[in-house]
Parts: sequence; C-alpha cells; structure tokens
Amino acid sequence: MKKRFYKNIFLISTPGLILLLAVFPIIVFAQGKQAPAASEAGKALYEDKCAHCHGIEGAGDGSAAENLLPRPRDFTRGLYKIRSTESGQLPTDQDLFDIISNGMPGSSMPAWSKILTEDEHWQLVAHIKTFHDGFEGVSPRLIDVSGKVPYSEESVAKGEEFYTTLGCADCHGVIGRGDGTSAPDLTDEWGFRTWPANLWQPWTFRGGATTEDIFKRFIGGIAGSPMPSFISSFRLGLTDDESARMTELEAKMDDHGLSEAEEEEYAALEEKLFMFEDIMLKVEEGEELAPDEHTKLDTALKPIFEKSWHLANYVKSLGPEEQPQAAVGDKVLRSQYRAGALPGMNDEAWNELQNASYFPLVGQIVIDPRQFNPSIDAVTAKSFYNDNEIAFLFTWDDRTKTLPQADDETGETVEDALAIQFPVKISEGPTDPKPYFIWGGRRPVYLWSWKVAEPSTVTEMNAKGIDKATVQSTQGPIQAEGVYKDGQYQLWVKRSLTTEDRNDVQFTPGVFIPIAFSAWDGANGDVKTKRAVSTWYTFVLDPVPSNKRFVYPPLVALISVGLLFGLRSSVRRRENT
Amino acid sequence: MQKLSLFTKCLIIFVVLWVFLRFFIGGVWSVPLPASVISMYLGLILLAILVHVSVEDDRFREFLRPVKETLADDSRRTRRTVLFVLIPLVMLGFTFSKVSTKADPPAALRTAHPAPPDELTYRDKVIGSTQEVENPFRHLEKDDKEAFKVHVDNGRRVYYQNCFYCHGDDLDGEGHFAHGFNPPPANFQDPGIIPNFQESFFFWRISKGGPGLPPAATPWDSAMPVWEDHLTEEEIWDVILFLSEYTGYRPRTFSEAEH
Amino acid sequence: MYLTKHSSMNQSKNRLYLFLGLLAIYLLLTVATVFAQDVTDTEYRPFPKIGSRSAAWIAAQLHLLFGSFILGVPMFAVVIEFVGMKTKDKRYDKMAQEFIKLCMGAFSTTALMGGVLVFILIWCYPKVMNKMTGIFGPTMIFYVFLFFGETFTLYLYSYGWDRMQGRVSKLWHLFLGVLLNIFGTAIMFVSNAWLTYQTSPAIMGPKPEHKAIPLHDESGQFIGTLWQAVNNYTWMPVNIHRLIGNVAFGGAIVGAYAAFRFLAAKTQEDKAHYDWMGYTGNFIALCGLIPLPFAGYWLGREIYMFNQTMGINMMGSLFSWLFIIQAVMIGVLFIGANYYLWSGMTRIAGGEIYTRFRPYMIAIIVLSIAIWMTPRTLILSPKEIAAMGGPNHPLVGLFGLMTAKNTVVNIIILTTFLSFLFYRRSGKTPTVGWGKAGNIIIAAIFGSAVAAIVTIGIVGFKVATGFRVNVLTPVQVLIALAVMILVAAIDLVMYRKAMRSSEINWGQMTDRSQYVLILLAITFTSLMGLMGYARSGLREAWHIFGVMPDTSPDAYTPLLADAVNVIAIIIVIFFALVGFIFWLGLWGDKKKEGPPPVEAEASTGDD
Repeated sequence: MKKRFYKNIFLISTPGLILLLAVFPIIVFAQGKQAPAASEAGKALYEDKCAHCHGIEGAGDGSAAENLLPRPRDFTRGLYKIRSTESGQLPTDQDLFDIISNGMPGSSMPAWSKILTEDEHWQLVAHIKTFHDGFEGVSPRLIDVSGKVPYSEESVAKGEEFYTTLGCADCHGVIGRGDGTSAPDLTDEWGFRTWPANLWQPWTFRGGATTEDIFKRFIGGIAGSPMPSFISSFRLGLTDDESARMTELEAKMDDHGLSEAEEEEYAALEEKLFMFEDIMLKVEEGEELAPDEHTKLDTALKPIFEKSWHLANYVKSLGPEEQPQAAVGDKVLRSQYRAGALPGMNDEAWNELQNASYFPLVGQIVIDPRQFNPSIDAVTAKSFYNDNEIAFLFTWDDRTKTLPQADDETGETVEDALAIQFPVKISEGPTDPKPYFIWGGRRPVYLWSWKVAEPSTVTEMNAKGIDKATVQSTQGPIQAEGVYKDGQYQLWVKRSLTTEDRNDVQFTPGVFIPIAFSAWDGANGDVKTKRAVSTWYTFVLDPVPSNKRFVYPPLVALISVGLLFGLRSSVRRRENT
Repeated sequence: MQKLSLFTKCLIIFVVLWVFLRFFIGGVWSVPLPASVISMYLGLILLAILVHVSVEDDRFREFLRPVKETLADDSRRTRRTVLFVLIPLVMLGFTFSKVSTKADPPAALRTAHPAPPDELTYRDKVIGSTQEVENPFRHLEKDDKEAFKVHVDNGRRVYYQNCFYCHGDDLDGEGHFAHGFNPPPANFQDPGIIPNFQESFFFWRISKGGPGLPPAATPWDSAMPVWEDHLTEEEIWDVILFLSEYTGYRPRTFSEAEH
Repeated sequence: MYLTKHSSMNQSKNRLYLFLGLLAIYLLLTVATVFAQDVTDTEYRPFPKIGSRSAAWIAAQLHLLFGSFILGVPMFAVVIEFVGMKTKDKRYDKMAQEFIKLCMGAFSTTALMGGVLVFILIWCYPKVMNKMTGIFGPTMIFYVFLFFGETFTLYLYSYGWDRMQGRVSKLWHLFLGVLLNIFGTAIMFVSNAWLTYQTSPAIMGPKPEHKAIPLHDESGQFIGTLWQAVNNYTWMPVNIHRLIGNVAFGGAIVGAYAAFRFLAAKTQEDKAHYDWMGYTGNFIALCGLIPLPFAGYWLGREIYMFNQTMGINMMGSLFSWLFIIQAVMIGVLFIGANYYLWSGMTRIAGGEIYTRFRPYMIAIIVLSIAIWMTPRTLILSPKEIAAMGGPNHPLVGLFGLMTAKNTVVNIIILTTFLSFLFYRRSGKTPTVGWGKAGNIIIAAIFGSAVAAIVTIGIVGFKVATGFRVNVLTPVQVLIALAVMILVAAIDLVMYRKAMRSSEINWGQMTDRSQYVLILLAITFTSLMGLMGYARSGLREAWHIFGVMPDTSPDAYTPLLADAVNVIAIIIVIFFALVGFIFWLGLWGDKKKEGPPPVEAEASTGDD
C-alpha cells in the first residue's frame, strides 16, 4: 500500500519535474529583456570589444574613431540613432541589445550576435548605460507600430507625394539617392560630416530595412543626425485642414492683419498647439502623462503615423533589401553578342539585359594618401559586342556632381572620375599571375580614364603602379559619353574588339578578361590615390553558341548505344560458352 | 516483396551517401561543399563499394548478375529496351548541357601560405634570418607582464587603426571592407592560421604585403598593403602580439617546426 | 635436379647481363676520367631537344628506380634464403634465387642508367660537377670501389647459388648476401650525401635548437670538412627514408613480377608458386609501407628545421599540390594492400568468418583517406567561394589541418594491421583456454587506442602547434605502434598452438587481386617519381641551395603539370624496361620447359 503510494507520487512528480525544468529557462528568459545591473564583467568585455572605437569612457573617441565615418557613437550624450522610442527619448534596453546584436549596416559597427553570447550582450547594454545619467528610472514612450498600412501601389503613391511635400528631397534627392542639394553640407551633432542615406540602398540603412524599421526612424528621428522626427514637421494636434487654415491666417497676419473672428480662431488653434507642445515637453522630460493626455496624444499622432507608413512604403519600393551579389560565379559580367550596330547610351536595347553586374568598391588603403571612408560603393556594368566592337554601360551612385574645384581641406583639385582597368596581357591559366590589382606593378595594366569635366572623352592609359600611369601617346578611336542624373553617373564606352596597339587589351570572345575599377568622388576629397577601388573581377564576351553542340551530343549518344550493344553481345557470347 | 539485389543495394548506398554529402552536410548541417570535394568523396565511395563486392568471386558474380541479366537475359527485355533508350538519351542531354552551357570563370589555384624569403627585412634594413628572428617583445610575457601589456595594447591600437577594416572587429576576416576583396582577408580566428607560422612569418606578410609576395604565390591578388610604409617596426611586432593575445592562438616557434 | 636444370638454361642470359654490367662499368670509368679534366671554362652545355634539365631528370630518376629495386630486393632475398635454410623448405630458396635473378637484369640496367646520368651531368653541367667533385672527390673514388664490390658480390651470390648449397657453403653464401646488402646500402648512402648536400649544404647545430650551420663562407667557398659535407642536415633522414622506401619498392616490384607470372601461368603449380611469391612481395612492401610515413615525417621536419622557406615551399606553397597527389596515391596503396589481404582470405577456408567486419573496415579506411586527401586549399570556382562565404569550408576545412591528417594516418595503419591480423588467423582456431578473453582484450585495446587517437586529434585543433607537434603527434604514433606490438604479441601467444582447420590453397586467387599487385607497383613508382621531383625541386633555382645558383636556361622550377608529364614518361620507360626484364624471365623459363617439373612438394605446403 505504502509502496504504491510512493510509486504514484513518483509517477506524478516526474513529468511535473521535467515540465518545470523545461519551463524554468523560459521564465528566466522571458524576464531577461531588461538589462542586469552593470558589472565588472561588462566593463571588461566593453574594454576588449568596444573601447577601441567607442572609447574607454564611451565618448566615441577610441583609437580607431578618427578614420571612421560615420563616427563611433558617443554614449555620454544619450543620443541614440536607432530606437523604438519616440523622438527625443532614450532607447529601451532591447534597442541597445538589438544594435549590438545586428550591428549597423553601412557603418563599421559589426553584428556581434555571431561572436558574443546573449548574456554578454546584456552585460554590454548595462555597461553602456552607465555612460549617461539619464537612464535612471525613465520609461520611454514606445513607437506604436500597430497601425501599419499594408504595402500597396496606392500607399506608395501617397508616400511619394509626402516625400516631395515634406521636403525629404532637400537632403535625400529628387528620387532618393541621397543627392539632395543640402547633402554635401550636412553635419551631425558633433560637427562631423554626415551623408544622407541613399534610399536606393536599403542594405545600408543603419537600423534595418524592414518597413517597421523605416517607420520608426521617421517617427523617432535619428538622434544626433540631421534627420528629424516627422512629428516636428507637422503641427501636432491640428488636423490637416486646421493646419492649412493656420498657415493661411499667418500669411494674412503678415500681410494686413486679422479680423477679430480670425484672431479668435487663430488663438484657439494656437492654444490647441500649445497644449500638445506641453504634452510633448513632458514626454521629453520623461514625466508621467495623465491618462487623458495619453489618449489625446495618441489621437493627435494617428494621422502622422499613417502618413509615415505611406512614406515608409514608398522608401521600401525604391531598392532591394539585400545588396546585389558581386559579379562572380553566376553573376559574372557576360557581354552579349548582337548582330549589327551596338546600342548607344540611351538606347532601349540596354533594358534587354536584365540585371547589371555589380562590382563592389572599397576604400583604397594601400598607398598614402588613403581613403578610409569611400562614398562610392559600387560600379555596375552591362555590355554588348558585335563582330568588331564592344560597348559598355557603367553606372555608379555619387551623391554630388563635382566639377574640378579646389578641395576645402587640401586645396588640391578634386573632381569626379572613373577608371576602368584591364591587364595589358591576359594571363594564361590559373597560375599565371595578373598585374597588381591597383593599377599593376611589374605587369602593366591598360586603363580607360574618364573625368567629369570632359564627359565625352575616355583617355587610354597604361599604368605600372598606382601612381605610375601614363597617357598613351596614340589614342585609339574610343567613343564615350557620360551623364549625371539624380545621384547617379552613367558612362557609355565603345571600342573596337582588337587594336594595333600592343599596350591595349584585346577582347576575344570566350576568354575571361580581368576587369577592375577605381572611382573618385570629388566631394569626398578623392584625388589621386585617395579613392575607391575594386579588386579584380572577370568578364567574358559570351561566345555565340557553336555548332559543336549539335555534333558531339549525338556522337556521344551513338557511342553509348554501340557500347551497350557491344557489352550485351559479349555477355551473351560468354554465357553461351 | 522481392529481395533487393546486391547491385541495387549498392546503388542505394551510393545515392544515400551522395544525398548526405550534397544536401545534409552541404545544406542542413553546414554550407555547400565544393564540387571538387564532392566528386573526390564520391569517387572514394564508389571505390569502396567496388572493393567490397569484388573481393570474392561469388559476391562479384552476384553483384554483376542483375547487370548481365539486364544486358542479355530474355526475361529482362523491357528493362533492357528502356535502359538502352534512356542511357544514350541521358548521355545526349548531359553532353549537350556540357557543350552549350556558358563556361564558368576559371577557378583560381591559390597558394594560401607562400614561403617567406630567407632574410627578414624592414624597409631596407636587414633584421636577420626569417627562421631565427623572434618577436623582440615576446620575452616580456614572462619577464615583465606590465611592459608586455603595454605592447599588446599598442598592438590593439595599431590593429583598430589599420587592420580591422578588412580583418574585422573580431579578427575573423569579416571587416567592412572584406566583401570587396578576393582572396578574402585572413581570418585569424581560424585554427589553421596563427598556430602554423612563426612570428617572423607574420612580420614578413605584414611588412611586405601583397606586392611583396614571391612569384610562387599565385594568383597574386592579395590586397594586403605594404605596412612597412605606414607602421614602425615596433608597431608591427606589437600587432603580432595582439593577434595572438586576442585570439588565444600562439604562433609557432623555431624549435617547433614541423611539416 | 630441377634447380640445376633451371640454372643451366639461363646461362646465355646471364652472359648478356654480365656483358651489360661490364659495359656500364666501362662507361662509369670513362666518365670518371672526364672528371679529372679542367672544365671550369664552360658553365653549361645544352642537351639537344629536351634540354639539360629533363635529360638529367629522366636519367637520374630511372637510375634511382632501378637502383632502389636492386637495393631492396637482395635485402629480403637474403632474409628469405635464411628462412629457407632454417625451415629446410626449398620453396624459400627457390624464391630467393628467383628474386636475385630479377636483380641481375636490373643491376646492369641500373649501371647503364648511372653511366648515362654521369655522362649527362658532366656534359651539361661541367661547372657544377667540378664544384661537387672538389668537395666530394674522395667519396666518388670510394663509390667506384663500392660499385666494384657490389658487382662482384652480386655475381658471386647469384652464380654461386646452386653450387653453394652445402651445409657450410650455404652459410658462406648467406654471408655473401649480407655483404651484397652492405655494399648496396653504402652505395646509396654515399650518393645520398651528394644530393642531400645540394639541398642542405649545412650541418646541424648544437641542441636544442639544431640551427643549421652553413658549410660555406659568404663568397660560396667551401669551409667544412668532407665528413661534414657528407653528414649534412638532411643526409640521415633521406638515408633512412630511402632505405625503408627501397624495401617497400622492392617488395612491390617482386609482387608485380609474381602477378605477371601468375596471370601468365598455365599450370596450377605455377599459379600456386607465384601466388605465394606475390603474397610475400606484398607482405614485404607492406612492412616497408607502414613505417614510411613516420620516416617521411621526420625528413619533412628536418627540412623545416634546415630552412623554413624550404619547408613552407614544400608543404604550403610551391609543392603543396604535390602532397595532395601523394595523399591520393598513398590512399590507393593502402586500399590496394588491404584488398589484396582480403582477397587472400578467400583462399583459406575459414577466412570467411571475418568477412562480416570488412564493410566496416572499408568504411573506416575510406573515411580516413577522404579526410587525408582533403586539401587545405580547396579547388573552388568563384561561385563556390561565394556559397561558402570564404575559401575555407567550416567543416571540411578542418580536414585540411595537420592534426586531422595525422590522426587518420594512424587509424589507416591500425586498420591495415587489423586486416593482416584477420588474414593470419584465417583457418585457425586457438586452442588456449583464454581465447575468448584474449579476443575481448584485443578488441578493447583497438577500441581504446582508436578512441585515444581520435580524441588527441580533436584536442590538436585547440592547442599550440608546438605542443601538438612535439607531444600529441608523437603520442598518437606511439599509441599506434604500441597497439601493433601488444596485439601482435598477444596474438602470437594465442595462436602458437592453434588448430589449423584448413590449409592455404595457394593459387586460388582472383585475377583481380593480381592486377591490384601490379597497380601497387605502378603507384609506388609514381610516388617515387613525384617525391623525387619534390626533393630536387625544393632547391628551386640553385644547384647547391643558397650557395651556387643555377644560371642556365633550365633554372626554372617546372610546374606540377609539366613535372607530372615528365614523371609519366619516366614511368612508362621504367615499366617498359622492367617488362622486358620480366619477359626475359618468362622467356628463359619457357625455353626450359621440357618434361614437366616433378617436384610436387615445391608448390604445396603451408606458410
């Protein structure tokens, strides 16, 4: 009897225990969303992994900071770019955790999720919070993402309209490539240069490229940068009509004064506005809001939020979320054969080629002066060839068109330019070396140099080193045309496949030819060796499919039939004997 | 149910192992295996199967029986006809796809670890024989911990001011410039890098960079700068100390040479 | 009776050999006189058509291959003769004699090749040879004496075989055999001195660092003694490596000969005889093969210590692909050797009980070879690099590291040893009472050894290289060696009085197994060709490394692809010549085929 009792107890308790063991970590995990108290471990970890950029004291002045743009964040001011909280507020612990975990695309902040454990993330969050006093006892207002407007053509169209009316284009450019008129002059809270985002490159968005991410940046702003919160662009608490009316009244006031009724109307509007300003002030100070204030604020924010969703959808519609894959493997640049004349710059024929090949560029940091923060990230290319000629269409994004001018800092003449590089002699076989990837060395390279000041000229050059380029004495007939539009250069180049000059590259169909690029953005101080470069890639003039494919396969099939029958008769013969 | 023939069993084993290599290891478990490795492994598997079935005459005969039957036996006429049509067709398709697909760019044979010259130099100054020179600050690790830390910290500074663009914040070769280069920057967290070379080797690779590679170092595409143009001798030794301190891997020393 | 008849029929053939041998000596002597002439005025003379490098290369490699054969074969001919004398089993004696007959043909070819080589060297590289003679002059004279000694001992040994069958004279005959081996080994050691000196003209410094102390001053003037030049940095490792390699190579060539005769044999008796001969040859090849990786490891280590650049060039850079090919070939060797052992078990009734283990052993060997063959630097298309996110695969990339490779080599060797153990046990039942316990102990030893080796291998990824190289790897090797010794000891005791349930049916082998024997010989030869290229190529553009640069148009290091072509040509020539010698053996025997041999006991009996 007693034995049975214990047995029952055991039977019941075992699953319970297992359940408890299973649930326990979940409970603990669920509560772990808040950072623990700051610890020595967090400090040590910070000093090992973070301090070289963000500084021991968190002032964003680590040893590496000087050469970085965007600069490492200064934690002492409590200004955080990427938050899920409303404008002027501090981030949540989870926000900090996420930034550490995901990194900031397009900057030098890597994603630490691969390297650090979750506990270590939290230790760092706790330590980072010690750099700024304001974190004590505040509970910031979270951005409400519940009213998300689903992606639709209609929403995108609305968003596009807001994009223009709200003045986004001033910085981000007419179609969003970050080429707005004020783009070259922007600085952040600390006085460092900052470039507006190129909205066609969502993979460089620091806080992520989902619609929600973009939406949060609109509502919360990007603290410390010139990117404001949207809320400040509206008269909070007024409807669109009321806001329009107020503008109207203000205009009238300046012109010839207001009537009494109008003055009253204006005062009422103004009072409404002030009330919300008070509320916002409270929010920013971190004071508790009365319940009705909360409701009022939420109601007032609602139309702004909706507009922001439309705008987010518009931004989302511009570019792919992922960076295109570099021109290797499947994506290798294949020049297509085309009978007859090759298409000119604006020919529709270029659209037949689906995706342009993508050649990533990085800063030239091999030879002084170096470019640690290149502003040109990639060149793309398409190509056609016929029996005699080859034509390329290159594009690259540049936020500014810089004609030759003296640089503010160095006084050197800077301008936008592109150089396309080929080896003079194409290496034979995998063990035959190519020239050095930056303009050759012992082995020379052949260059097409294009500069913005002479948009219809490509100069043929040879180089035996980054600063050892010479213009060829006899320039072959190369046609070129370059234009700048909406933050992007397009360059069209056409040359004959073969030339007489032994220092030129010769284009032979079917041969993989190395190609590389150098690009200068004058506004970024690029000049001479200071520039963006690519490593060697290869491209090929896709050969016209040969007739061999109609000869060999049937031959092989025939031979295999013969073999099968041969095998069969030999087996038969052996079995009969 | 009919018992499976030895041939069929072998075929199943082969296919299962192929699936394992191609999709399990190369998909579920890890990143895809290169074709050269897969074909090498499959070749070995085929060899193993042939070895097993061909040791005894009986077994070999049993293995070949279905093949022979299919080829010659009257009762297998249907199967034979199907195969005799199918195999040439497959060959036809295979050859056609081989002949008409666009050629892949040539694979680069890469010499990952080229041999250093005999003499270790900094700019034009001769330091000594590559295999004998040791890190002049390494001994501080034992003799003077404080001074050692100063050197490591200096190495840390040098690293984050110069190297991490390519070699990454965590020394894993995944810096924010890394995507722009081929071959990719060295990953110092890889157990095959630091422990395999003496500190003098690293000094050579750092000070002379890509342009200083010997002719044997195909494909000669390294983007490594010539750091002796930018760093002092001491800075290079310090950064080597930092590499090993941060990753926990110790470079090899002279007496530990192996093949 | 049979034996006397046999030898008398071969007299005309032997005369041919004698003639060829003397011709070679004549050539050597002619060449030696050229040595004495002053040739400093000419640095190089081009060899027509194929160039000096290829000419010297082909001649040297052929000379070396034949040389290895005639060094390796007498070694076990003597051992087998001794075994025959002790067991009074005529079969052994007959086989040993047959080996030596093979040697005779190969000997004259070796000498011929040597003559050709010396001629090419002196003609094409007079200045180099002058320099070398300046340093090694006395050893070259010594060499000629040794060569005479070897020649006459071999002739005495071979021609005296039938005559010296008495009780005492057999002992003298054996002594001749030993002398022959001493001469042979000495010849190899002397010539090794020359070529190792070219690679490593330095002596080993004092312990513990063993730094290389060069034997030349700044101007390239020799400052050492003759003994120092001989006993240079890599001399001894190369000696040992080659000595063991020759044993294995000799065994493999004899195995191939036996296989060739087996396949050509018409009678069951001949089949039985050559089956047994092939088995013996393969056994000897295996005995050589097992310690060879360790000797190679030592040699590699010494090369690293002599000069790190050379070491990295060898393993990580210029020649690294060569070692992948080497891994493939050694893989073939091990699979082939095991295959042959397993095939051998089919000729013993009772061997089939071990068949059930075979799939697992194959799996282990193939898995190990797969790991061993996986290169550190993979062949990749750019697409694959992109798919893997880098040039190293996170999983397979680990196989490229030395610790993984060392681990699997030990496991391959242990598995091969297990195959041999099974082979030995086939058809026997132990009579000792503790048979079952013994098996369990052996299984436990194997199991724990493999577990230990693998664990050490995994630990090897994490520890410092120095600790791994100096502690872990040797421990792995020691474990493997200890297991083999321990298990062999237990097994010997267990099976000493074992009940033999069936005899070995010599001759009942598949033809496939014989082709494997031939394949093994070809693989061995290719391996030697490849490694010869590596050893010599390591000097890069130096005649004497770091001292005397090669300024001829042939100074480049040939690409692997070119080297493989030359090696393939060498192998074809070698096997054409060897085939001719084999055929001579067959041809000679055929002529003697009159009445069928009577001695039936010559081809039966146990092992």
